Amino acid sequence: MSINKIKNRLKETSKQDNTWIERAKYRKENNAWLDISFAIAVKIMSALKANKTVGVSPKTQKELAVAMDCSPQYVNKLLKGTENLQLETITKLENILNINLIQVPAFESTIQIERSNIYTKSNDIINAGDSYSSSYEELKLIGTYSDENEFDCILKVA
Amino acid sequence: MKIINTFAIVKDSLYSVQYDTEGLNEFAKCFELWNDPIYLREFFEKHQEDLDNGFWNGRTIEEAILKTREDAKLFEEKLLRIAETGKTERLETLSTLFEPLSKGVIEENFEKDKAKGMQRPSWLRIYAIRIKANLFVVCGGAIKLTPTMNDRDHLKMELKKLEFTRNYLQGEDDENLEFFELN
Repeated sequence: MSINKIKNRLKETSKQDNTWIERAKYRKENNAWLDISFAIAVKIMSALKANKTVGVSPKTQKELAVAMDCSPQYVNKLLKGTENLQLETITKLENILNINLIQVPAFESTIQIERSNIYTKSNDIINAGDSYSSSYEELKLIGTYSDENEFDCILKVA
Repeated sequence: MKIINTFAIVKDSLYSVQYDTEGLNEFAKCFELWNDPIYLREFFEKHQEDLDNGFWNGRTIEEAILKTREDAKLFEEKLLRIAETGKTERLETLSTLFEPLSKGVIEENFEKDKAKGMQRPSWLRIYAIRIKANLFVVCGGAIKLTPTMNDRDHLKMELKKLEFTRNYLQGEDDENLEFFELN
């Protein structure tokens, strides 16, 4: 059969694909949250696998569904990485599987300490003379020392 | 195995077959599977030995799943651009994606071709028959972790599909037969 005949026959008898083009556009438009949903699915499966290895529940999709009080179909949907998950669902999964799935970054702050004003008790926390980057929780801790002992520092909140 | 339909992915340039055993055409199926964590987990658990190969730097299953999706995403975005451009202007870039299946085996017509994912190195493959320049018919796709296609069953199946689709396309013309009924 000639090339042109094959080409014409392909053209005439083929259906227009809508499945891929629509799915591809959807994936592109929803890329940001699909990335997270996919990563969460991978992590849940790893946790189930790890539980299976040590014989702890939940170790299957079915057991996870029971623990979550939802249908196995919903768990399957979660594991397909295409579910736009609610925070409530995510935290429930974290508790049941004892894993971290999402984290909100801590508030970044910078504290600059003058070498001459270092409070001796805080040496185990702060290196003398260094600029010190700290999480909000650590700053609160340092702040306590500051209040009680006139700790002299410059605090910058990013 | 029987081809039940052909689909135009990019009109006049990229087509895909659909087999009677599958719910989707082969091209669409590849991207569904490469975006499916359950399928990918099963696949990499089955082929963990190939992943442990030095070439892939002993990636973990989790890393392999994430790499696959990332590569599929880049691959799909590239093909989407081509599909959208192809509507309005002559498509030139499709030929740059496909290359002969085996090095040094260049055939004028009905060449067995492959397209690789966007990452380097990439284990994603789409297999197609090149009817002529800028006209391809996709007949399958795979995750290829081994140097050759002859060592793994799922890749041997892809070789069969290439051969099957080529024979199908080269089938003698019969006005009484619908194109998709040829075997």
